[in-house]
Amino acid sequence: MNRKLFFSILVFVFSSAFIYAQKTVTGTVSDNSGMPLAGASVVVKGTSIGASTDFDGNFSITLQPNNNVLLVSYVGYKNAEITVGSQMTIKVTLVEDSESLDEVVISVLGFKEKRDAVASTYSVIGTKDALGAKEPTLINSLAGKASGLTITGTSADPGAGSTIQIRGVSSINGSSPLIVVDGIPLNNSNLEGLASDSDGGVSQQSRLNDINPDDIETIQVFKGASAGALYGSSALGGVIVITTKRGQAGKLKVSLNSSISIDQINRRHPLQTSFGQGSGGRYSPTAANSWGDKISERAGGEDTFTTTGRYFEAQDGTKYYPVAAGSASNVHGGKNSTEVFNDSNFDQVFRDGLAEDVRLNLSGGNEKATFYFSMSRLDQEGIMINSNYTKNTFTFGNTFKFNDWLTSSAKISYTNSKSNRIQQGSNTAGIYLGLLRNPADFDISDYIGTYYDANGNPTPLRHRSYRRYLGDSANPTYNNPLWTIYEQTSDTKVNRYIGSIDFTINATPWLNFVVRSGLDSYNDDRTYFFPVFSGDSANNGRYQNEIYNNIETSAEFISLLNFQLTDDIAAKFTFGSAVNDKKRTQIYVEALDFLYNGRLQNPAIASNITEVEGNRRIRNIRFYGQSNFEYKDVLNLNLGLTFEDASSSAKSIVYPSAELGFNWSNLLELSGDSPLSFAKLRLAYGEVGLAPDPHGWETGYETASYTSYSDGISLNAFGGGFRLNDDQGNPYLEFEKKKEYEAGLDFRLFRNRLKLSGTYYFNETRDMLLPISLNPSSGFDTLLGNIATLENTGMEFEFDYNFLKKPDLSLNVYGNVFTNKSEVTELGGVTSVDFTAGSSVKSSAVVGEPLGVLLGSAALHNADGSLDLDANGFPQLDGSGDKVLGDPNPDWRGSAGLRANYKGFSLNVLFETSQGNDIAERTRFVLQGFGTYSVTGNEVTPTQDVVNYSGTTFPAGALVRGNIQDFGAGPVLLDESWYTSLGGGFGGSVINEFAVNDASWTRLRELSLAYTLNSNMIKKAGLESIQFSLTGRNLVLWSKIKGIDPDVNQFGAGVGKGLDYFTNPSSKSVVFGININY
Amino acid sequence: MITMKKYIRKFIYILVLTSFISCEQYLDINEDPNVLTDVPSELLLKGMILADTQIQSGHLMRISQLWSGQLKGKASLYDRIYNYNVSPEEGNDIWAFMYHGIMTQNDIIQEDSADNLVKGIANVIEAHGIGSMASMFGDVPYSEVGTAEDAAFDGQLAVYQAAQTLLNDAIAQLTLVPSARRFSDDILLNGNPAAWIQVANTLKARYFLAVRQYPEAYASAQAGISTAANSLRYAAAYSAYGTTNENSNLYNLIFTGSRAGDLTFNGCFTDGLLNTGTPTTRNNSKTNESRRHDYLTLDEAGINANRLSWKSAPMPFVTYEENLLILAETGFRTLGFNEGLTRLNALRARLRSGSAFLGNPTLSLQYDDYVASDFDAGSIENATSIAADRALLREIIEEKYVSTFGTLVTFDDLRRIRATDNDISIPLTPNSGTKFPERMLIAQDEINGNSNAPSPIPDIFTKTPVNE
Repeated sequence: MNRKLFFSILVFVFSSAFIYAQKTVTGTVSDNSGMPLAGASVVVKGTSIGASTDFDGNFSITLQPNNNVLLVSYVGYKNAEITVGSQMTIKVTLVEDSESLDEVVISVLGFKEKRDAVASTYSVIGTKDALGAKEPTLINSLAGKASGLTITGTSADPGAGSTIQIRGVSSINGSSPLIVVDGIPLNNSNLEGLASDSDGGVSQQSRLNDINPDDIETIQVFKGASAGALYGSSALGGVIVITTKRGQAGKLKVSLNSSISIDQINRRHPLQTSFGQGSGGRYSPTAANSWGDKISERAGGEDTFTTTGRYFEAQDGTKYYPVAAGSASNVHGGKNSTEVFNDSNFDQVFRDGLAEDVRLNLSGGNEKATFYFSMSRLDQEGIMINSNYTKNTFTFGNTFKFNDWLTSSAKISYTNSKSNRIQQGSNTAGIYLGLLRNPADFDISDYIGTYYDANGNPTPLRHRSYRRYLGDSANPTYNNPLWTIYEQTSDTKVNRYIGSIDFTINATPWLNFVVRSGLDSYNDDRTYFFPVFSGDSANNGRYQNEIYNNIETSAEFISLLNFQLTDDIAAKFTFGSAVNDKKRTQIYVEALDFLYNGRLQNPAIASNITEVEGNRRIRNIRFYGQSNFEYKDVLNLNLGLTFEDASSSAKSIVYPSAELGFNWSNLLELSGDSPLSFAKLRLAYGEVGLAPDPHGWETGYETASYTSYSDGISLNAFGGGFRLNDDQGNPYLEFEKKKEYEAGLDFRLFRNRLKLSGTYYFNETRDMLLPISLNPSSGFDTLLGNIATLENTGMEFEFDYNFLKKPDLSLNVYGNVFTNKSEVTELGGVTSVDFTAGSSVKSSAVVGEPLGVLLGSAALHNADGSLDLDANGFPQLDGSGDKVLGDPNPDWRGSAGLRANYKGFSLNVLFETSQGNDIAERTRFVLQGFGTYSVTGNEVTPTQDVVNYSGTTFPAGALVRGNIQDFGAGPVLLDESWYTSLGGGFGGSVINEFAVNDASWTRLRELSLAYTLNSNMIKKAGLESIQFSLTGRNLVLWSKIKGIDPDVNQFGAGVGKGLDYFTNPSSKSVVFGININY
Repeated sequence: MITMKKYIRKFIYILVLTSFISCEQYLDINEDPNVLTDVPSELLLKGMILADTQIQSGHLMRISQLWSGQLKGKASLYDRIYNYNVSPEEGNDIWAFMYHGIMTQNDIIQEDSADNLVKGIANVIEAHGIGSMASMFGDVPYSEVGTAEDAAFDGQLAVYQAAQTLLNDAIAQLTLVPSARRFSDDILLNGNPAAWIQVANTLKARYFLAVRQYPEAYASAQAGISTAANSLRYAAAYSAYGTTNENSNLYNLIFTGSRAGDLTFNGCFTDGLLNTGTPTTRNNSKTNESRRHDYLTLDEAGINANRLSWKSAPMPFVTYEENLLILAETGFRTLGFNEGLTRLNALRARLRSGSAFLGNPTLSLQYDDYVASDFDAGSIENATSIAADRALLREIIEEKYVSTFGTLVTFDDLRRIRATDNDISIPLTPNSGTKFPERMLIAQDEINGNSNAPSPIPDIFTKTPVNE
């Protein structure tokens, strides 16, 4: 409908009715970019007559003849006083009040709300803060920015996923928060897949990183269940609401961002360089360990070779001949060289990483239509040679106003990315495993070449590793790290489309409808290639291709009702219904036993091909209603109810929520010079849930492999067959349920200069779905059931103090501190549930303990806690099963920062800390067994006779390899016999208790300096501003843990944590950026 | 505006109504599209066989060999276990294979299948598995498996008795099958009912022997495996399925895998026993073990087609040789010296044929018949001059120790003979400390989930009831 015509008719109708008594004016309220402001208050000055604007910013108000001044106010904007005069329609433009810019927040459904009217707990992360970190991956840029929010990285692999947790873990089944972008849920999965195990393989990506960070307008973290209740089962882990940029009416705006980041490994495991490969003090060129001869005591010069018979010829023609192992009379054997290669080996594998990031966005439009367009390209070379990540994104969005009652907005974005990841973890074809176990005296350089046997028969393309220095067998045992980076590939290619469209129907001034729908579709194509002679059981070659096809669609219909019940009470009602469909297909092809030693990445190369197809589909529906009552500006009450049903649940569920906000400072009639500016008490209760994974109702038949230890045999290899699944199905599966209580206080002091916010919460997740390991005699291995219960209690505190504010200079200190204590209270009679594979140390749920405690083999202890020692004074293995060895959850975390602005300069310094978290340093512990870790290279001169683990006595005064330690029965010598039995190595038969340590850390998370040029000269050149920035990430790390950033996790983005096992390292970076605005 | 409102109202009513009605239908998509929920129960037999293969020849059997002088631990886990540092986790897989891999599947076969051949074979497999469990762990759950939430631990003797009953059932089922029938999904004996009946009888003899019921053992062994072709061996039909990693000999898998260097035959007691020129050698003027020594040499280096570590080398479960030696021991114990000697010579004749094992064919093999006087004091089989009777029994025990290499029987016999005839037991010394392991540790998963599990669990040095 033509707007002018409409208003003309309106005016005519109204004027003819009320012409001689009163006057009704209509108008719109918008911000200075033309965006309508919904819910703005319009009051006739000096009266209680008022109205609030609808969702298009429209209002209508009746004036008395002698009263024609309107007061228009909206939180976050400066008040405006308008003299109506003879006008019948008024356009009000409000100017943003920069002092309280944050004060408009976005509700979980994506609508703007007044901050002070919101009673749930949330944190706003300014986009400047988030993007200032210049992280190539979006998730990591959120680290340290909000209380209760924990971001744990997995490794520095480009594009690697990270864990996001809000208020700790709410469920064993993963509780990464729901990410809502412009009201549409975004898939943020982190799928391991069949080709890459969680304990060893590659770091998988997180799909959240597909977003172009430049598109983001705001990020808000809703922590409590009360806020998430409208989302029901998706919001168990909290909700992160992201709104993206839209075009604004006005001139074309162009913004160009470019940055270059240089990354370096931030921690290196210390290794010894004193002793060679071998055992028992004798050199051996094929030994697994470095318990060989003392390198400095060798003759020096070239090794003594046997040049008749077999040899290895590297690609550059270098020949390697057999070297004799040491003997009792000559511990060095044929080894004469005193060269060590730790540093050169390292430098052949690691490099300075480089990331180039370019982002461009354009926006503009007029009153009827706006557009937004962005594109970005990230090109990253990781710190490990051949690891890389390339990402391109394109986004196009527009808004269109059809007429007075119908507006629409649509957006589509496309992302494609490509990455090669490096094999890591518990994986003999991984990089760190082969590099760190490598003896100091073995040069990894010539990793590939031709092996000639004693008869001169050549085998080309053989893999030369430290345990196969002649490449004389198909099995390298452990990969040469150069083979891992140059010969193996682990590519992933992702294509993703995200589209959304919504219509807003402005039915009456008090009733609006919003119809929204979204589509999120991606294809992740992963290829893993292990050529012939690779480790990890790929001696005969292995090609794997795994393709995920994921399509999620959602549609939502929302009705919004707005009433002014009395002068003092305003009411809002929201009713909605939503449907959601998630469909995923997984195609997996594994091709083993190559027909020839080629590099063709296609199953055609192999004789043994298996294909697996997995389909997964889940749907859910929701109906919800929420009412909001506001009494003056003092009391705010939200009541909500959500009904949900999901295809995978046997029962539907109803979630209630209630929030009460009490702005008691508004009762105090504060004067302008009172230190207190604002005070609010928040109380909230809410429930959320988690739907079971689909298709869990039946116990089907499966094909299977049978392995008891490194000896798997499979039904498929014997012509096929079946077994009743060892994971028992359960037709009674239903939602997990979480309820949460919270209470909080918000204060603003000194004219809003100091902001304080504190929250206490308690939540309990019941009926948690758990595949409990059954005792084998039950006849099944696991049963999935609604079994477990978990509690979390925590405190959160945030502050921001603008302690200096002058025209040119502004200084803020800000930060947060939070705690979360979890306790597993019920596990259905099972002692423990493991989240991680492997038998050495596990991250597990144990009744009465925090979630994720480290469980594993312990030393025998006496009743008083001291070690129960053997006759030689050494600890003994407690054979009675696993014990709790540590807790990877921190006692508290926090961050503190300083923000300074001086003229065009801005500085941000952010420290983050985590205290009281334990880690199982399994890399260190295993390397002790291998004799490569630094401590095992020590030599001591005992001051008294000491015995070693096997009971041999070492006399005082004689230098011996090892360390002296007193376990409680006097000093003993820790040497090879100790480190290779109970004091190092892997499996459940070593004392893993000694691998667990306090991993508290503090880091300089971010240091950034920016300078903005917006002088007249720039403006004359037609530009709005130019900003230069220099950012350092992770530059300094303080921790007792050596060798690795304690923030890494062997098990990636899963629930299990606090484990390091040859996990790829983390990085520190320096980023230079430039931003040009037109 | 008014008419539009009406439309909107109508639209909402329709939307709400249809959504409620179609919800049920819309959400009815939870049937698993990826799995079969109904398969012929006969197809479960092969999985049971592979589960049994791991019980008989997998991790715990290798551990039993480390503790029985048949292998040595060199590095990592096997080195620690060799020195008796072992944790209950080592048994997790084996317990799962027994109860889920065998018993749960067999319950379905016994209930659903009409095929007595498959049912009979499945029962023999179950008896084979549970008897091994009793021998390794002593008291284990059996009678209440699959019925009670926390199954009780049955006494070791009761489990052996239940295995006997099950074997009788199996024999009855197999007897009903026409003797010409075969079943190709049986990868061990191609579904030959007569062979399975013989295997069942040898197993009966094995279990009678374990509880020292010698006459019953002797009687059962007489109906036991009568020809080498009927021996139960893993993947006897290996070649029929091609040669991939995942149907290879388990020794081959471990010696070519990532744990390749962790254990070895070199330097173990059996190595010294079969080798020539060692102080413990069993070679004598009538015996040359060179070829068998080569055959049993298990190490990451030197895997070849003549050795037990070859990818297609069949691994023994229940063999003709074992049956012959049960006859020898129980014949000796029930009928006397001559019966023992005759039966022992029958075994030596079998070894002499050169088909009992491979080994490098250029190496010698010699197993001449023994005569009574060979066991006289000071003679070739009695250098230490003990009673001739004891000397013969000692030789039968030693021969069985070698002939059952690669099965759990060796560990059974060592513990049994130590308990009753320690004077003639294999002269091993503990790898560490002064005591020999007498059992495996109950699996961690069972301890975690079954309130009936003993607490604390018996350590590895605690004898099982039959050897107390």
